[in-house]
Amino acid sequence: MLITSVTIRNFLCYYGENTFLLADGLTLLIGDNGDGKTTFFDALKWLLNTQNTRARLDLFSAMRKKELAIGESDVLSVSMAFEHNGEKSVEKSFKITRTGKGPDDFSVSEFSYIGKETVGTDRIKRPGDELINRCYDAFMQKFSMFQGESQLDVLNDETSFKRLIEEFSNLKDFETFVSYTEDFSKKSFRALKQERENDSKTAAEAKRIGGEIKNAEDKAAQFRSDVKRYSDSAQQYKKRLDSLEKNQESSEKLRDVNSRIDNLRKKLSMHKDLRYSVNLNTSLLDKMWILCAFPDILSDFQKKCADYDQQERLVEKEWIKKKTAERVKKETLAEIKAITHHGELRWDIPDRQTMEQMIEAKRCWVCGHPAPVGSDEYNYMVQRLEEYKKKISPIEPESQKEESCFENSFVPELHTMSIRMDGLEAQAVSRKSSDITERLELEVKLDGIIVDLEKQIEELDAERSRIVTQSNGQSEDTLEKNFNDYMGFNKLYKQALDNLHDAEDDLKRETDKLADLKKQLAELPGTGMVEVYNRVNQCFEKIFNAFKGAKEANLTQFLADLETVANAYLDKLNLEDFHGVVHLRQSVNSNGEVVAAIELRSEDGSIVHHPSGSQETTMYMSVLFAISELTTKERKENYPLFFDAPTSTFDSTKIESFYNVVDSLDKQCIITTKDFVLPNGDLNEKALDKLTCRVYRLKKDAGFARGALETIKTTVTVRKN
Amino acid sequence: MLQAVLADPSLQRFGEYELSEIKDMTVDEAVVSNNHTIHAVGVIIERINENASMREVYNEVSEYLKNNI
Repeated sequence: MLITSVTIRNFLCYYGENTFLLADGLTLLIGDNGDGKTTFFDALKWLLNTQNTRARLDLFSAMRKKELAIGESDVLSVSMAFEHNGEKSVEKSFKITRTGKGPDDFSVSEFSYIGKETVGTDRIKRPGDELINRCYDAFMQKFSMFQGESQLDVLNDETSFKRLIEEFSNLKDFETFVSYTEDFSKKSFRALKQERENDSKTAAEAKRIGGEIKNAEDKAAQFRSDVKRYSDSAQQYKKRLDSLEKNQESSEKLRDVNSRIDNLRKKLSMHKDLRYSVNLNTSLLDKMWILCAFPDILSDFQKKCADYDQQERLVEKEWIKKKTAERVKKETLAEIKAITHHGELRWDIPDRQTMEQMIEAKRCWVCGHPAPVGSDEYNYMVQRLEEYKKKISPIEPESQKEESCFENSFVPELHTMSIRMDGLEAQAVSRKSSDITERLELEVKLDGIIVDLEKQIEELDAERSRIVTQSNGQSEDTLEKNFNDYMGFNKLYKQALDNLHDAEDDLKRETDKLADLKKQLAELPGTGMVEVYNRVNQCFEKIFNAFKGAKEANLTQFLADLETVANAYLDKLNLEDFHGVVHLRQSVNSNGEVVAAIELRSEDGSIVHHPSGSQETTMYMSVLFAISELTTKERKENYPLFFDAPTSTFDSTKIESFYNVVDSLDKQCIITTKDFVLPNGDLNEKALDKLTCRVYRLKKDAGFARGALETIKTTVTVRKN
Repeated sequence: MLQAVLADPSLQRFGEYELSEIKDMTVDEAVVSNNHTIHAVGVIIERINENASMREVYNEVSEYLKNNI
């Protein structure tokens, strides 16, 4: 099949009629975001969708709709001309007519889906759906039209891939032959058995063996049914596991993140409790905050007290020196005065005892005169005794005070106090002040830890969101459930595999027994027709096995060729990058059919379980290109390949390799892409010049209003023919 | 397909033919072959390609073998 042209008229941003003449090799449709690349793809899909046979007003060009006056009409159509066993074309269209001024006031009519084909010299009309189903059915579209890279994984569907292989290898042809010859083999065996049982010489033995064969066949059928059942179960569990495995990494990561978040939350809660337990009540502050400065103030106080004390002692020393000098002087003068004073005795002459005796005797023994009580002499003696007593009595505090340098002893008291405060008392006060400081510091430290923990939790929350976002639309709950399901399904899968192996062993044992019994039956002595039937049965059985073997060998050979060619493409698409090896794994499904699956392996044979997006894409593309190459060689029907933005996960080297490969393919490829569009909106002419393909440039018409759909119109220009 | 089937070693032993005999052999040639195994395979391929029914093909080949084997 070769598509020669596609015409799009009034389909979304394609205003008026736009025709693309497609090359038989590569055709590139280059445009930036919103320039109509995907719309081209959508228009084709709408045309080729045989199930969609209704007109849709929303597909009509908004710009054209806006232009239509009431009563005016226009047509939306998408058509395609192609070669497929002769010239053919298909067109899907409908008409709209404006019925009012509103944006949706249109009537829709004349929907048609018409195909045309040239038969001989005649051009014959066909229903569009019939023609497309015949030439390019949904199955082939599924394997040749890829929107984005994710759709390429249809190749990984076992059944679809099998059908694709059947389509392009001789497998389907072989299946009919295998089925026919298997039936022939069974029929001829029944005929042989019947003939044996009718032969009088061997009838009894043939019946016995026949009975055993029947039993063995029943058992084999039962075991075959078991194998199918366990195989189905194992495949279902495997499919579920594969599906879960895609998210298993995310599930494990999520579980790990959640566990870390839980731990951090516990820590946070503990630190918050600690933080709130720091006693910073008003009592603590009221009573103790003033003590915070105590050590400094005490130290200052002690220093000042010591200074004052020292100063006071110096002053006092000077004062004492001065006073002592004065007293000595005074005493000396008094002594001199006493000595020089006429009739006047010193104060200590006579002494106290003598004085008291004289008063008691009422006579002065110094002068010898009597001194009766109340006389002047008596009073003089009493006065002298008082003076004496005064002189010898201890110094009175007041007189001491009078004699002191400082009236008060504040400085010594303060000094004593400062010294006393420096002991245990100061330590106790200091402890209280440091308690406040420690509490304040602890509060700051805890605040820091809490902020840090909250930040870590926030980061992990973001990580959790990232994991959920990147997990193919699975919710967090589903991922959590997946983890548990994975464990459960893994167990079930292993159990199903064990059961399957047991059933397979049983089946093999019974099949061997059956073969042995058939051999016994064949070897029974027989004559005439029995021997003929025996030979005929052997011939049919051998022919059946030969067809079966040829079918398997054909598939193996096709897959081996496909693998070789696919790996050559994989190598070309991944220059200077790891790309692994495409491996097409054969297996037997529950229906006993040989099927194949695509795997990416390392050179040592180990499976690359999590290939990157570009590795996966290039792997699928390589297989597609290889199928195309092999089918072209074998002159099978070829189909075009459509890719919409196929290189989004490619780096620049891979993009270049990709276009070089598709440009050299002997196959029609239509690619819509924004590769080759430079940041300034121009095309990378230098890169395009290296390619031999046809290039169309899609571009939004300038002057559109960003908020108005009716101003959007794609202009199509041929850049390279 | 004819070569792929006839190349089966077990069928070859049973039919007593050599690989060289079937090299480049066409279905038409197989159908006229004197070797009953080659003939049977040729007829099966030819008749199935002609969309003959399973019963028709079986009866035809079975009768041939009964008479010639």
